[in-house]
Amino acid sequence: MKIKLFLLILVGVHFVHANDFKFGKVSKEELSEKQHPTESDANAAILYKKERVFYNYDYEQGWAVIKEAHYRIKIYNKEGLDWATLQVPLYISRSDEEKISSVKGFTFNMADGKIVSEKLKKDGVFVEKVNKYRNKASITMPEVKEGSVLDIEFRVSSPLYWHMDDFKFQYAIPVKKVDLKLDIPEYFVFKRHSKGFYPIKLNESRKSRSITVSYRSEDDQSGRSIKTSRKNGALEFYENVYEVNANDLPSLKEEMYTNNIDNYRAAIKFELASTQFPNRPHKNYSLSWEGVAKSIYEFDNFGSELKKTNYFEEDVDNVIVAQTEDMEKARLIFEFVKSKMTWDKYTGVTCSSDGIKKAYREGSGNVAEINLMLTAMFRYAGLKANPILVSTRSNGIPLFPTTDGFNYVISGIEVMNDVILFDATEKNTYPDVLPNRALNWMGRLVRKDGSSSQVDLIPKEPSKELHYMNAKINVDGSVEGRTRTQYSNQLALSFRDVLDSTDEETYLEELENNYGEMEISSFDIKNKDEFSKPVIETCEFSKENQCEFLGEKIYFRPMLFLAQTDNPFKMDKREYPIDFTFPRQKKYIINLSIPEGYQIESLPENAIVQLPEQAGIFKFKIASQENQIRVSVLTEFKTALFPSNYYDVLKEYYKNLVLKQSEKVVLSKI
Amino acid sequence: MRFLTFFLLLCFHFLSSQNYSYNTISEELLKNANAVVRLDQMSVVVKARDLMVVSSKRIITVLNEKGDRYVHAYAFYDKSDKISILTAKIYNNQGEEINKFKKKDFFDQSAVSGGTLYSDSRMLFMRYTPTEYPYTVEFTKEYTTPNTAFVPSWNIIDGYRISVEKSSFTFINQSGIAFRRKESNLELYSVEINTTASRANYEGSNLRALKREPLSPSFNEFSPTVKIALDKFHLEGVDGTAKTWKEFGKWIYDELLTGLDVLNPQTIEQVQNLVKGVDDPMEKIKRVYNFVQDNTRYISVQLGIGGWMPISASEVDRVKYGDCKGLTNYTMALLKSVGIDSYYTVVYAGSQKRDFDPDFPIMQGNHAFLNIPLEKENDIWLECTSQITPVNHLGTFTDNRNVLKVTPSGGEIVKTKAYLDEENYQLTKAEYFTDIGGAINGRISILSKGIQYNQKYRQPSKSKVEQEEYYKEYWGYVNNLSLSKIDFKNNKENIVFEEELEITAENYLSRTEEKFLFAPNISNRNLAIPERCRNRKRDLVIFRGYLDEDEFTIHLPENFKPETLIKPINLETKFGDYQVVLKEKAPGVLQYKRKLLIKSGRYAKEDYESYRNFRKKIARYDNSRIVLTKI
Repeated sequence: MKIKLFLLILVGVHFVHANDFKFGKVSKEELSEKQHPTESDANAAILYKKERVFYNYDYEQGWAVIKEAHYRIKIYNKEGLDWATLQVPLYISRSDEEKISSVKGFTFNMADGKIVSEKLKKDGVFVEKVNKYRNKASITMPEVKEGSVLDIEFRVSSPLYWHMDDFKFQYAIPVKKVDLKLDIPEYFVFKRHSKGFYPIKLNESRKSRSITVSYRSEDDQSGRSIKTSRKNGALEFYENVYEVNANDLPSLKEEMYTNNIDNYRAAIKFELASTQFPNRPHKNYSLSWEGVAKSIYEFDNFGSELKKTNYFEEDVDNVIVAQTEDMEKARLIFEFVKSKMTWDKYTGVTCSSDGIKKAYREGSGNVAEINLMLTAMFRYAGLKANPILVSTRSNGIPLFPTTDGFNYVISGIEVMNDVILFDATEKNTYPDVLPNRALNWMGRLVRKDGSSSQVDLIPKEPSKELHYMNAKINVDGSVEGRTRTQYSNQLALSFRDVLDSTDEETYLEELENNYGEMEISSFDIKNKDEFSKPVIETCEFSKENQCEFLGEKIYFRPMLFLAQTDNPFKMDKREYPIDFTFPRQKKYIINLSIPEGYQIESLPENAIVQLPEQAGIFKFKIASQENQIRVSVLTEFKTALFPSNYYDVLKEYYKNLVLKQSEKVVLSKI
Repeated sequence: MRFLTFFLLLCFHFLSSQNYSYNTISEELLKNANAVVRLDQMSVVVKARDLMVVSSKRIITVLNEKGDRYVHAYAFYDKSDKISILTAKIYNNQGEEINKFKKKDFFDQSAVSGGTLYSDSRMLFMRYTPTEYPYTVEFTKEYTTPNTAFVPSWNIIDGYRISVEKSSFTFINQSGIAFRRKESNLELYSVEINTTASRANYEGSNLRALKREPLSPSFNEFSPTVKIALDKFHLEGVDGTAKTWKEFGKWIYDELLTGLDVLNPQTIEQVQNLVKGVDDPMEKIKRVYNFVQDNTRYISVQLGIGGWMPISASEVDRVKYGDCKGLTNYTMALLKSVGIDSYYTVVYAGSQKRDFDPDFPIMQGNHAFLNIPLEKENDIWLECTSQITPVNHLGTFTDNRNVLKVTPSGGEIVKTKAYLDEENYQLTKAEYFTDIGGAINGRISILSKGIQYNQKYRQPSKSKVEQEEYYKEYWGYVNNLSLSKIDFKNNKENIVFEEELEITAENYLSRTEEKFLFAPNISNRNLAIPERCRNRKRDLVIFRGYLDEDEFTIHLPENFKPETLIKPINLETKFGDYQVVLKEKAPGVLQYKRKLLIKSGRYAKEDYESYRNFRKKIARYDNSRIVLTKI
């Protein structure tokens, strides 16, 4: 009895609840709400988002995924009006494409204390071909003003039964309630991954389903007749039901040094892991990182392309002729691929349909073509090389094993207990110096037998910047001298890229303007193309107004224009981790001579600021001898990624750093 | 004449069979260039009022990555256009062919992206990754279009840092329709001109690359161009006739606007109720404009006569959204129903000012807004796509430029309102308290008008975080800044924007031994200095001037007094004035007053350095500090 009652109540509650957001029925409370209860600065809010996903079967067409969606959106102010237009991507796969239908919508407003509604008509729905991979549907609502509540419903039917976009629960505006329900036939096994800072609970259950299938059948068992007739049959199977019911999700806000904000968005990803149709073999797509790696390896435009060697053999023979040392062979091949191939800016883990040979012939290709070619050449030269699957920073962190979790490939050579990383898509890369886009979490190295292992992509060694300056302070407040700046690893890569993308004159103009009114009389770059060495820039400069004159005294910053005067962290709070991309170290060694007729009255004090767990340090040392001042400064972050609870510490670190670097040396007249 | 054409053709033939190796480019064309146009050859043949064939060949050697964007290997098209030829060949730096694109190899996609919901415009473009620099692209295109309203114009130079070996333009008119030409700056670049009654031919060669200079006149002003317009033309099924702006406007009115201003009786009644009992036309305008702003929103949909015809007023009334044309036409219809005449106006909108040429009527512009001639010499302007702009506030989007006003009796070129220097006003008043630990806290109020209003009036709708970021950027020289209060008042009536702020900043005063160093200009420093230009070639242009006034009262830390004060500063130049006075108003209380006037105008290129010196001085004085000592 008790149990029954309980059930009854549950059903009752459920019923009332569902009624809350019935399409086409909005409340006065929703309409009269002037601002969001917890985020008063929100321009709009998603009051309700419902998505239902299920499968249909048709004998001729096969399986299709149907996605039905209902959005209820509240517009608080005029800046929120952009949310009155919804855009739905519709994917195209060869001859198949997703289609939108049953688009319905109402805009609700208050007029004279009553709820009035305006219906969405056909002319508010646009479908446009974006390119050969994608169409775009735009739904724009009528009669929208401040305070409006919009109800929008639509259905997307997709023959691409293996693909589902991420189900998002968090947006740039707050979300009040989300209901997601998927009914997936047992034949499709999906992996589910939730991500984001807001924990999302996924409920799973099971139910049975029966569908009637109409099919053609050849009647005669003996096979003599070719007559066919229509028949009906029932297909019995069970379905996995997945549900998410979440409430009150705050808006997602972009901050500095966040890597990719999408990493923190509450969402669930469904990825097809395997299929098991009646009377067919079980087909596995992915299950674990190992499985993912293996299935990518088995793609024709991955593994098979990697095996081809005949197209480059002759060229590579010439490149490594007479070389016996392994690392030297690797370096020569790497330089050869870098100079021969240009990246077409396309990412992806597979070669294009044109294949690797054509890419080689034309000298341009996507990342998989270039780095698989590199790997194949390494192997050909007898090196223990393997491709490494990577997710770029813009693709987000692949927390869960999915095939589209990876969108990039690099190459690795295993030596002793280490793997040396190579990426030949850029001209200025070097072994173990990858472009920043690839410095994202872990990569997965895949071996010939399909086995795989994790590889840390973030460099352990800090990239270094070393500044020497010898300068003379003049009595008119100007400064002249010489600087020598050295960049290594990642910093050298970006510096070389800058040099490549501009001519010397423009570069110098920018340099002069960056430091504000500097004149550079001579300038030189060393090791521009000697990738094994740090790149070195030397300048002779003069610069006015480096000193302040107050009374009879001269004040100046001991680091002059090299001082950092701005704290990069300005906001009071921070929710997301701080990502500096790679560990870094800066050193300054500065020698200054003061003008004749003056003496040093005071110097700033030495200082050390240390981050907890020795994750970083700032050291400031200054000393004088007669008319010479010597300053040495070190700043270092030993790790690239700091959790968000480090924010206050980092902000404080920079506050002290900026303060110390803006303190002045005081000179007085003798 | 015939002979000449024949000769020219031969000449082209010779050129196109030569090789395009990089080595044959002269030193002077390589200087400052990202790309060199080897040959740009375009011919436009008007066969009939609604039939035009445009063929072009463009051969360009790209020297570096920045030159890629000048290859222009694409073709825009819509439903009524036919692209008959589209091919490209790529050559390496020795001039050897390394790749080839046929029409089917070009990538088809929508020509507009992002904000636009729908557009018929599409483009075919070449997807090619350069494998080395320099490389050369030979791009050939031919298309047929009925839209003779847009005869392609000839822009010999595409932009900065691109040089031209040879460029030619031939216009052949077989339709017998009269046409007009407008040539600009051709003499500066020794362009050869040959014209007859039915054709025009232009050829330029060896044009060096131009370098961008800060604060210089707009590129259109000095670049060589030719524009051509037919007196009788066609646009997506509609014929047009126009020799003058009057006729042109008449055509727009008759063909694109007439009949689109019908509203249903309920809406008319609703608007008439809004202004019931109001006589003042200005008040009527305000109420109607408010109605539009509260009830509609902007979306971009490019439909109807190639995107030139507004959606009807009744349509906009029903759905309550529209693009600039639809919303302008709708507002016009609403105003009409309360007895106010207003005029649909076409403009080149954007912060970089661009004029309609009074002497050369041609289909142009990228935006529509509304003109209301309220009194003589006093036009009211309404920007109908914005939900928050005040009545008659143009801002940098449409200020001070020639626009086309469309009236039932024809078109008229009029100039929009210019914001004079003093009108762009900002007054900052503040009171600060400092403490012995070096911290400062204060209350600041800022009042802005004119263009300075324009820069700020969208602030209230930003998120708290963005607002904070804005001030932390604006006062970026104040470290450890935190804001405890941010309040705005947008007075739309008088077009005045007020900001009320409370700030604190630790360590604003820096301590050296027993003294404090301290900069009294806490809340308005103009530190930006225009970049240095070696060998300036073009005039200095200050597009918009402004006036800033500041008044700060500063309470010093207890038991401290100024050891030095800033001497009064008074700079007067032709570019503007700068004044600073710092006084000890009472013991321990300083008063800082500052005034900065920047005058808009055009100055000789030699003045650029002295303008920089003026700005350098301002930056230095704004940063200057004083010493406080213990009493």
